[in-house]
Amino acid sequence: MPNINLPNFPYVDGATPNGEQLTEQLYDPTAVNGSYETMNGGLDSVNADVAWTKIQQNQIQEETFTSAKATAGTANLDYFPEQWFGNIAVGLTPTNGTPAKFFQPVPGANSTFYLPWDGYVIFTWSVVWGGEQWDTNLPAYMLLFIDDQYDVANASQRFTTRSLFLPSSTGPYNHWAELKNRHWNGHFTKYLTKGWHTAGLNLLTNGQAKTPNVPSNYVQNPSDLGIPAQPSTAGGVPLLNRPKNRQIRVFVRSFKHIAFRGIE
Amino acid sequence: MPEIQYPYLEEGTTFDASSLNTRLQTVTDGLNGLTEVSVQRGAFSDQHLSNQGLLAGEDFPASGVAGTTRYSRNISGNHSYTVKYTTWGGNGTYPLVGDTDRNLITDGVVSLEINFGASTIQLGMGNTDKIAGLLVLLNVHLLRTSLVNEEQQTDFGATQGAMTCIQYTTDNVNWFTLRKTERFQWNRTVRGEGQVAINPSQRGKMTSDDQDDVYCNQDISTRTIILPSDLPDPNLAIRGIRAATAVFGAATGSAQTIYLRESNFTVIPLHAGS
Repeated sequence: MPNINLPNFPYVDGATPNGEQLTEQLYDPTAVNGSYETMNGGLDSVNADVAWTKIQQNQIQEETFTSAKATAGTANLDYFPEQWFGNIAVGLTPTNGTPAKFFQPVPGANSTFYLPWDGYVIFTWSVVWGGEQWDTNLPAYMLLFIDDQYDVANASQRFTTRSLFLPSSTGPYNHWAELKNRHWNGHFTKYLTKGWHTAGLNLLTNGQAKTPNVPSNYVQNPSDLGIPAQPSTAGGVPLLNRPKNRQIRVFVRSFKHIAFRGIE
Repeated sequence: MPEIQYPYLEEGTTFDASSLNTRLQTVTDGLNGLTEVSVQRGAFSDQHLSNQGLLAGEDFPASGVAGTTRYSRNISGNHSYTVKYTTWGGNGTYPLVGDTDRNLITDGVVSLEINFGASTIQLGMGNTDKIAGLLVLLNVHLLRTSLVNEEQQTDFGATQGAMTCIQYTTDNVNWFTLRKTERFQWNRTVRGEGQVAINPSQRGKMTSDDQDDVYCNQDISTRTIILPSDLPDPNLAIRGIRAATAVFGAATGSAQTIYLRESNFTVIPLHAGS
């Protein structure tokens, strides 16, 4: 590499090259590989010698073909939906259109990054979450946002629902965390253009629904160990006006992306 | 890297064609002698090299569906499957009969399949496609299962589940399973207070009897690399890669069904190594 082949060369004794002929050897941008001007950007893949078939990894600068970043968190994060999502009433099937301001970005599962070129970005994440939830129809969603947008067509949303159950006719409620917590190792691939981007997981749940504000057996204090279980009329402790999604806890989480330079 | 020498032409010294030829030939040979080992560490950036980079996707067809890419497919809607898993690794016989005990994951609009049509690919850097391997990621949301007439599963033991896997085809007819990609998830559910077996007058009576937790809602994930050594013949001409699923488990019933919802599938072809 390259294959410079000078014109007017070699010189021959007895002949007298003129100034133009000599100059053409040194600099002639019109002649491909015909002068030393080839050094001005001509030492490239197009001009590579056929014997040069490989570029070694260490000859390539970082972030030439790939780019990546990771973030994570281990401290438990507690969200109390009545305070955090008091304006939200969402159902089992998510839809587009909920304003981004109603979502809560999860620290440790969000990232802002600069993409140095257009390319394909694979987002991957791991997250565990669950909570005190009393209704199978009122989930707590975790959704992927990219550049402050989500789209249910991206299929990047999962949810938890009811977690507390009375498995028999007696005894306390059990918190079935081992079954009903979500362990989501998700991924999503998108083609993004060069520039700054944001991406990460956001939480959304119903913070409005509550148990009746009158004595009932609808939801009982999970710490009430009355055996046999008793309705409120017999000494049980009904939880009045209690949020059906009382608490959502996000456990360990991480969020990564790896980008591959490419054409769409 | 060659060391180019170009001695000055000294003032007052007569030079001839030979002295010029020697100098210019030295420069020419020095530049032409730049080889792959001549280039210093970190010499190249994205300004110098192809914009395809590590991707080897020339044979990957562009996807016209919104939200998908050349290398990925996504499904967001609910969809059901009844084909039952019978054998680890598939029940087919390579190369004649494909695995019939699993189905393509699809919602009827988008399928978790990337098909190359007539433009087959061959794995291995020794082949013309220069694809060292396929980086494959798959996520499948197992919503629930059912046993009879689309009723929700009423046996709250983990007797039924879903399996997922990655398959390839060489003829667009017979699909074969890559064994190392098989995963499964039991349908784990919890019985609620509405069940007859539980005295409804007892504590915890819910407002209706639909408060059993009959939804599984667990995610099945796969992360793997498909290499030539994973194929029965490392030089197979592959026409398509897809994600498949099947009912898993020994549950009984006339209409065992699994319901999947959100699913994501990515296949990235990579240059690598020699």
